Amino acid sequence: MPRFILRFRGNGPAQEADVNRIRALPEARVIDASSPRMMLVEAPEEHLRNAISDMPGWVMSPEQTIQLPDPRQKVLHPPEDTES
Amino acid sequence: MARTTKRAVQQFVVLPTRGLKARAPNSSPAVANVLLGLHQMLAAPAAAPPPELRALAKKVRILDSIHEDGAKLVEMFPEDASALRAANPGLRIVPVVYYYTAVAPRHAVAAAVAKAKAAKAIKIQVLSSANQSPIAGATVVAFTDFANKAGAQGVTDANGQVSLALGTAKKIERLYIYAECGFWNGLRQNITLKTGAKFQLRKIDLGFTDELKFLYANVALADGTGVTVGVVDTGIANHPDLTIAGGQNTVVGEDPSDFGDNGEGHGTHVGGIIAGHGTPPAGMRGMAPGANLRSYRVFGKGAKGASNFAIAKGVDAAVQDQCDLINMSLGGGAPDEATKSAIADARAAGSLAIVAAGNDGRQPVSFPASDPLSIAVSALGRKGTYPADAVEVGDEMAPFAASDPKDFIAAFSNVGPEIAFTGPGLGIISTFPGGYAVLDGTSMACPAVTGVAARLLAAQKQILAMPRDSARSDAIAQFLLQAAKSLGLGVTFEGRGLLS
Repeated sequence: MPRFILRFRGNGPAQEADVNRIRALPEARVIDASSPRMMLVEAPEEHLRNAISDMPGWVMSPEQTIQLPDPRQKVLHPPEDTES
Repeated sequence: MARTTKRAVQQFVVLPTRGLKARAPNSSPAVANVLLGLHQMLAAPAAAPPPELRALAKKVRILDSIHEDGAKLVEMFPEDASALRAANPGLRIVPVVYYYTAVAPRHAVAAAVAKAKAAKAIKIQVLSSANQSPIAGATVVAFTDFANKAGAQGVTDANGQVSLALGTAKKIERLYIYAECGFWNGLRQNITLKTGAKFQLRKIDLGFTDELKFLYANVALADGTGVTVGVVDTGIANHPDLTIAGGQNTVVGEDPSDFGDNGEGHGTHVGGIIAGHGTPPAGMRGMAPGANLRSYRVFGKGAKGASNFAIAKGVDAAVQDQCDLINMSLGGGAPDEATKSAIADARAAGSLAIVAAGNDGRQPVSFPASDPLSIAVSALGRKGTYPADAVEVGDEMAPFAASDPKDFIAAFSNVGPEIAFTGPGLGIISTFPGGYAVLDGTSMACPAVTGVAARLLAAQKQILAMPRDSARSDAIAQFLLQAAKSLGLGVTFEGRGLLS
């Protein structure tokens, strides 16, 4: 199941009614709601999009991974004339 | 010799920091006035521009406007965009981007990899130059064809030995040796590699004048006092040269109070560059030893990737803890709303995010550095601030500075119109779990800028005393952007230049 971040961009903390509505969505599992303006939720994307479409101030984005920038050189191919 | 620079007009979108229209409380009257003035210039091109926009009117062509006080599509030179950003930090100035379909790459190397696995190996050894003891855990990368990244690599064992699947004796264009810590990383060029070859790495001497010390000598222990800096990274380890005021681990499923280093050492190195308070040659000193240093660990134990959820939560926590500057030496994912919103909310709460541009080798600035509300940092190198046989030699690349041709933007650094500053990022000695390490990258340039920014900001009591809102973060950004000095490298490489 994909994971999504729901973030409240309105003024003040997120409305409890909005949070409860997300919690009550079918097949939804709230993984982290410890932040006052943000939740990490595992749910079908369509369910979440439908829910936040009439919840003003909320934005949604898929969870993704950001890497440490690494400048070290790496080999991408073996040498063409390697002897066996 | 005279230098010529090719200039090209680019398209930008100019808009408020939040939303598409300049409305209180998210935008200041100054931002609204600029956007209204630009709208007047589009609606009545023959009329005289408003007095405050006369200089700008000569440099910019307005192509479209969403609303009187809304976003504008404009054409101008990147240098003029940089100047406009410095004069109006409450504006977002975003390069126009065109998206294309993503064609999957073809995988054509599988057969060659299988062949290489069966190849004869060349076994070499890596030793310390100080006492000839073997160096374990060093990554050895041998390129037979550097341009095409062809070759072999491996990690040394407890005897300092590594086998490279290269066949028998082989001409090597470049041989990189990366130690885990304690040594300068080595580079040998155009050698013939044979089994039994030994290579030595130099131990780090904390008295050595690296690029950080060269550019910023005489840092006092009190520098940075009164400024709080948050490091959103792999966590910061306990170290004799570091004092960590607090922080949070925002990785889902981990202990929130465990904001020490996750084992990578990256955040500890970054923390030292900002606020190391040792004294060479016994210790390492950063740019703002007196700053209040806080650690927000967003990378899980042993992880090289961080969730955008953890990053956004880490930025939120840094804002909650009233960090004035937030250092983000990370990047590379697709732009996402969560991270963008966290940076925007930080800006609205008086905090400024300073972000590494990325190390993809002259590629566009990566996200989140590319976000218009981020302060993006490229990596500056300087010849002579690393040993002649160190890997840093391999990152010397034009353009070289007009002010001093020993200065250059490191080959790995990403560049683009979003760059706000450049900072020392090549051959930087700093703290590491259990000792010290030399690292390169925009990851190092970013905290150098953050640390110098903290040092400069500490003297700006009026700005620090402002209410924590967007006017405060705009004032911090404006102060810093105007404090930079150009090295003559071009704005897409150095932004406004080097903080000094």
